[in-house]
Amino acid sequence: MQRKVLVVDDEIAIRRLFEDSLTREGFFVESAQSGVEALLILEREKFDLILLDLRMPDFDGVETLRSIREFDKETPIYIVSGFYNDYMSSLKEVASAGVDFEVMDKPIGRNQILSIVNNTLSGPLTCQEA
Amino acid sequence: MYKFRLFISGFSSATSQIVIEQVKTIMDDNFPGNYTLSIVDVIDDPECARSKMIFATPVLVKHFPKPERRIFGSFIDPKKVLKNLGLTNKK
Repeated sequence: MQRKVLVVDDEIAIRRLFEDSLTREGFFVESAQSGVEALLILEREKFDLILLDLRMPDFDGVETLRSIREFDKETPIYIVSGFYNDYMSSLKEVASAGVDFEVMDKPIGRNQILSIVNNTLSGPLTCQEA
Repeated sequence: MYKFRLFISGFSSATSQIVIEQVKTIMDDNFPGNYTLSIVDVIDDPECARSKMIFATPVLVKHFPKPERRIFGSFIDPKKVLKNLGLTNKK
């Protein structure tokens, strides 16, 4: 069965990076350029994984995360953002409230994207010597 | 003494609690009384994650014995976890 990934990012270059990387590997990818658009898509469709940018105009990633978790506590959500950013205090708030999410750092390459998505959806482990 | 560090996103989330429990169980079963496990919440300590080049959570790092190894993903299968850390399953 084809796995479905929703990419939410206002930057077209980032959306294309995810779309290209994941569709080549056989994933079905749908993209949203805002949190509001993502919520509209999620009203009609379920996904196996959501990749969510933080810094978006109007309705940022933290607000989108909160809204998604009000009706969907199961789907894995990765916040795609650098660890140093203006949203860390908001993220701390939602994390303290027990909201489930994982984080991936930016910038991120194609191999890292595939590693994260494959591991999240199918469970095998990646091994990396430091 | 085996030394591990686990990077998670948010101590309070259900997923993080499950991951912590899974990792502790593997360590207790295989290295009882002979390991240290430090847990880093990347939301609380992003500098640590960045300095260790952690690109996503959850990640388990084996610091000792060398070589250092890091694994990312599911920790549900103890055999896979130990194998990918370069360690032997003692059970």
